[in-house]
Amino acid sequence: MNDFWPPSASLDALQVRAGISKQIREFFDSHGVMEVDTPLLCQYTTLDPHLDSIQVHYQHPLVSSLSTPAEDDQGLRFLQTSPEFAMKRLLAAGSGSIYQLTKAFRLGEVGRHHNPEFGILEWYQVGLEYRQLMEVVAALLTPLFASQGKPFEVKTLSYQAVFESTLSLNPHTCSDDLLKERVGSALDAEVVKTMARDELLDYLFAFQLEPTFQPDQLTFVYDYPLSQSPLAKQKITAPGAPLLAERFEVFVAGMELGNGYSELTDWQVQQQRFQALQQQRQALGKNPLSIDPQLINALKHGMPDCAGVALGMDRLMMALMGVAHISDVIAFPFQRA
Amino acid sequence: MANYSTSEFRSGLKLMLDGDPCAIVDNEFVKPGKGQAFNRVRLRNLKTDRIWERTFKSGESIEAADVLDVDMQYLYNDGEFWHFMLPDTFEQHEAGESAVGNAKRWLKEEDTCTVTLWNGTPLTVVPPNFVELEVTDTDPGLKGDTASGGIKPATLSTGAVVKVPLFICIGEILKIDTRTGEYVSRVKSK
Repeated sequence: MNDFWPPSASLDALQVRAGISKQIREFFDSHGVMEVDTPLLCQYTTLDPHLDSIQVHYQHPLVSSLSTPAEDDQGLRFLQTSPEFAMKRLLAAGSGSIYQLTKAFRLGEVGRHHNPEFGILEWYQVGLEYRQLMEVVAALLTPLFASQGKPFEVKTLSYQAVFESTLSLNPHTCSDDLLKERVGSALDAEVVKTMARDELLDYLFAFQLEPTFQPDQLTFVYDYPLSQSPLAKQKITAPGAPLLAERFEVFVAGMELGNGYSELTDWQVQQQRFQALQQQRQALGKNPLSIDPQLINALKHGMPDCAGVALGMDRLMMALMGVAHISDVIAFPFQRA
Repeated sequence: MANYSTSEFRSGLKLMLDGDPCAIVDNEFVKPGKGQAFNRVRLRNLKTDRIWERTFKSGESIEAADVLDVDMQYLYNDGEFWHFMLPDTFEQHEAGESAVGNAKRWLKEEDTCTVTLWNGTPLTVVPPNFVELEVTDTDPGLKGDTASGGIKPATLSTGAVVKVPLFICIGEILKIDTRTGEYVSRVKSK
């Protein structure tokens, strides 16, 4: 019989966690980045077809008496999948550079590297673009790993270079058929036939490329396909060249640790991309969701040029402590919560 | 036949894959960034006992295998088939050599075994964890030698050969752990 009352993480692990959070706050304090706090329970959520939000029904008569952006507010709320929309509204309001250590929620994500409720460190630095923010990420993480006796090297390479060096193909220009061929027989052949280009790239990246990254190395991958980056700024490239986003991801210890980009500030482009996501959701049979008018209005008002990144705090702790399961760094994971 | 979605995957779940019944050994959720999620699954092919590794796109739906574990009483072996009976309905099933496998070394008439049925046919047979079998052949016992710790082989009534202490004699009943094939103790004579 399992005993569910005690924490699944050791007290030592929780102590390390507390120390790391303190170091992170000191880092941002010394860099003039303000700590903020935004809602977990939100009226709008991500439209990303591959992210499912946890819905909450705030069933109380007072809901109908409140004035909210929704035309007919029935009390439906979402547990945020990231604090991105709210933090962008703060940036548009003139907050300057901001960070937040908070929780985010994703439906249906449970596993060795996933807890449906997870710690997230998200920050935005005004006046920086994505390549500069990558350097800040490395500057934040290097002393954290050093403090745990785990020095690492930083490796930086483009999304295209990752595919070229391991699979000898250009992910932006090669044919879908070549991608399908590389996926091979690990997936059902009938399923592979129906997979969209980005799904094929996702599979190859997760199963054939990510495992080649050195676990004790901080690996930055940048310049993702624009189609995979709906809130990132488009990279300026020559006419006719593949469409890229000013986006990066960072990997360590065999895990994806974070995702960042130069932020898209043009409200019209953002609105169009959201509409395209709504269509994708519909095509995939996902529940229809509204575009957050508050984010669009904030962008209309004007958001300064900035770059932002989100790091998974639980995975960061796993990498720092060298443990294999997320429940080793969370006091009460989903099953014990 | 029912289907299972990847979100229902858990160890022990029985699925049909390439026409063979399989049981999930473990299931790992893999999600690249904000992209398409996948399930990397290790399965045991219940016919061959081989381990397969497969990846499914999350949301895929896979046919369930009509596989059922039932307790049955072992009746007899007719030279080709091993016969089992459901104790409540007296319904009988015959299992071939491939289904009985290594379990045949431990099958004693009237013992209750776990038989895995696939589409109503025995697929595998698991003997009880402990069986009591008579010694039919072994070197003469060193009566009273319960201290030296020496061992010798002994043949049991089913044909199985196990290592036993030196003091064991022909005709004695032994308790055997079928999971390890090891001698546990002597059973008080009948």
